[in-house]
Amino acid sequence: MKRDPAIVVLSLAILLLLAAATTAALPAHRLSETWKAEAAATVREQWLSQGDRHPHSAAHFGVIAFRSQEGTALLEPGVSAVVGQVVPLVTHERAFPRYPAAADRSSAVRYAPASPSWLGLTLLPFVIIVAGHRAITGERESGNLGLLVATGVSPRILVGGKALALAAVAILLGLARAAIDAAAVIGADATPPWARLAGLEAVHLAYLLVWVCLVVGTSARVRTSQTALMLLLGLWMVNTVVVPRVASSVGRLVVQEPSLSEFRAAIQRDITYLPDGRAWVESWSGRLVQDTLERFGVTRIEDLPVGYAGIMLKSSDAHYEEVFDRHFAALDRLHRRQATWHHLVSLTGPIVSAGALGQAFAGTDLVHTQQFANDAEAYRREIVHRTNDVIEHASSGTGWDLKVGQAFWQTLPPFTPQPPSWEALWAAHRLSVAVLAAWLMFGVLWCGAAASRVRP
Amino acid sequence: MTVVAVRREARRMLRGPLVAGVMMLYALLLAYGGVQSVRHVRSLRAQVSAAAEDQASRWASLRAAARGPRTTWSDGRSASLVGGPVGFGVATMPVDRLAGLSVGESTRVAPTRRVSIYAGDDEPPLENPLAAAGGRFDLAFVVTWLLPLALIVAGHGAVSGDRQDGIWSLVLSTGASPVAVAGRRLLVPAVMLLAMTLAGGVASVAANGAPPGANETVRLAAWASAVVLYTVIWLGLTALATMGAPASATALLALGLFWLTAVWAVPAAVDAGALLAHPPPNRWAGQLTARDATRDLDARLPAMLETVYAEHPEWRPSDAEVAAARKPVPGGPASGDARRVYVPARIAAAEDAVHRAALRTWRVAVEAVVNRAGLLSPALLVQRVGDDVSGLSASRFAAFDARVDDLERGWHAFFAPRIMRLADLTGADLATAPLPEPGGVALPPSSVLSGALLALAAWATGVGVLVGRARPWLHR
Repeated sequence: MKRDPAIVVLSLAILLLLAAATTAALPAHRLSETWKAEAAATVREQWLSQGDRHPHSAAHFGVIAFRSQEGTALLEPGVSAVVGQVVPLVTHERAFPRYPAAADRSSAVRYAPASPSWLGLTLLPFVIIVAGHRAITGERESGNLGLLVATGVSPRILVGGKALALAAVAILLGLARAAIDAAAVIGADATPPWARLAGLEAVHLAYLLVWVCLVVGTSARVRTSQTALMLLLGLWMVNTVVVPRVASSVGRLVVQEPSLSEFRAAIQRDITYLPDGRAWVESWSGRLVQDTLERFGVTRIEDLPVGYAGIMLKSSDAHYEEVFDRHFAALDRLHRRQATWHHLVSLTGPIVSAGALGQAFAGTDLVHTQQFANDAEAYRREIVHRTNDVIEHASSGTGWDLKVGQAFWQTLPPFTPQPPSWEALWAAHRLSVAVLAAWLMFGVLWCGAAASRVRP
Repeated sequence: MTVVAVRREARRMLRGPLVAGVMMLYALLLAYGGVQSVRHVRSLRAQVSAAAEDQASRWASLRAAARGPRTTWSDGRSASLVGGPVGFGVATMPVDRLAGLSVGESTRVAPTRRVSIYAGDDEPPLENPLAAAGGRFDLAFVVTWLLPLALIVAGHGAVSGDRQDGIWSLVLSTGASPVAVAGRRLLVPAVMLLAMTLAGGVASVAANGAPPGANETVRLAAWASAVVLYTVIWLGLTALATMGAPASATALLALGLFWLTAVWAVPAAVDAGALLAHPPPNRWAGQLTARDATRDLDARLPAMLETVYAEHPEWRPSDAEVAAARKPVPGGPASGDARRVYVPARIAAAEDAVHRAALRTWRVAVEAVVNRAGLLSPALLVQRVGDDVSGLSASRFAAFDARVDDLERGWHAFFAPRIMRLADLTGADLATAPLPEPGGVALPPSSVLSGALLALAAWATGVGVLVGRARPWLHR
């Protein structure tokens, strides 16, 4: 293989393309991360220097949560590319993350994903196919296979040797690609996430080894190089072009999700109206006033020993949060049902599982994005609960005359999202691990079974 | 005679497992893409009609409430409630019958937009991130990506296969015209694929409602022409490869690499180039500036109010009107009126509008680069035609943005004086409020469409000339 200049040129061309894609992605990643870091600092400074004001007014002012991403995200943007990285956190409203990176791309790449990781997953197997499809058929077509068998070389050894040689090519390609990726994360991060990068590269190498087995096994099984190439290119096309898109789209065909406006309208409806059709706020407001006055044994809100606004806001926010939880949980259930179909289709080609595992290591999968959204929502509720608490306990009467200042704003710690636990990641991706392992095992068995059928 | 030969060739090819398999797989994927497209369009239409119904029902309630006793939280007379959280308008973009031909930019931008006195962020369409990240599978994807692939797989061995097996010289020795033989072998799968694709397109249009009108028929014809030209281009390229290659594997590899370049590498490079030429602006800068403008609100509100009244002295209410406007809410703030909320929101909206305008200008500049560079790849050209014909192109959404801007300006102009004067809305006000009406988003000029078609025709002509010059290769 190393004597074939076409393969060397093709490999170099694809590695150059990967390097170009990585280099092109680096400035945008750095700029975005710098902007986010600066904006997060500005938001914190705005929160601390908002002057003396009513705490509920500050809860409306709110903060903005930014999701910073490590350098591996530029290699494998994954799900993070289509989910926003910024969430405005204000009272009475649960927002979706906004400004996905994909929104900053042109229409030219609607069908042509070009992340370095995706290019590697799609183009490096192409090199393996071109380099290895003649592994056994080439020997047969040149007449060498008969000679080799006549010298006593067992077909199993021959196929195994060819597979090892092709695996060496795959490892070389994987190492070259890892070097490109390492250079990129060094350029992106002051403290590169080596463990993440190692995991990402290991997954991609495992994926390449699946292809090594499939290519050598196919070459051993069919009569001519032409047939081997046809079959392998067909498999490559289906696996690269068709399977990922079918996997991602079939769930929506089976389980339809609401549009954003329908989702928002349903939340607004449940916030505004009770199940019997009465306006929630009108019935709640009068009842709460009466209950609170009775609880404190006074006849006027102005005579309450606590800030009534705090009590009222706690009660109304509890209502909002219950409605948000119900609707977001329903949406999450719906997305999980869609994901089941996604996983089912992923059985038909290893690329979906390899991609999902790569995203998990890169920190850009659905688990990481959901963790950020959940952390942001928890932080929003923290702001709301703290401001409502201080209104209730640091004022009296209506509670609307209270003003707090910087000392109170400083009690709110900065937003620091946490990475998901390994348990959560394992639970979400164990099927992908199983599918990729099954494909690898199938490849080895395919190779082994083909070896036993090799005839000159 | 020719018809008989072609018919025989078709039967012969369909008996072969390769062509039959390719045709079946393509038909299956075309049907899947078509169903996905139809489903997507129905979902868009449902969004648009639900938004319109929601607006109508909210306004019917508000008009009824304005005639009834005053309520605290949803009074139809309150300009700040009607112009904001309760009575906001919804601008909708028309989803045409031809929308099924390409999902276009509707995967990035929703066809509905809230029109309110408060700045609203454009939230992305609600979608399972797994689905969005995996890539689209609509009719345009089938046309742009899979049609050439199917043609390559079915036709790459038309001549090179026989040449590799040593049969081509026998074919030549029979006296048969090599052009006719190669032409039949390439044309048959091409015509079959083209017929399936056009039928799929027409079916997706038919599945989306009533028969298209005259203008839509012309646009549908433009799409069909683009698909024909695109097929001709790939047919020519396949012919070149199979005529020139010594073996079918070589032809397949060459075509595969060209396919990768044309449908994948060039669009990705065009995207990278466009973003290098026009780096995206900071998307959250608008929010930060707006927050800065409304920070320390309690101290700055009087000055903010004075600024507005200095610009519009006719909006200033009398002291008596201010006193009368204070409607005590049980347990609610004692001092304050809608202006406390509206004035900062007005400043935030103005700041946000500047940044949104910058974002839109950037988007137009980037898409202009894509349109110019689209000449480099027939895949980009056919995608552009699909987007334009479906009415979901970037330029159509830009027109929608402009319409929403107009509506927002009108909305502010209507509600601002009433809020700042602390005036109640009257029945006449509610009848004349500038509520968004459906439609009103013009299609891009036909010159855009015809430009892309001309470019495709130029590609087809160029490839045709090359194939003509390569005819002697058939005698090798």
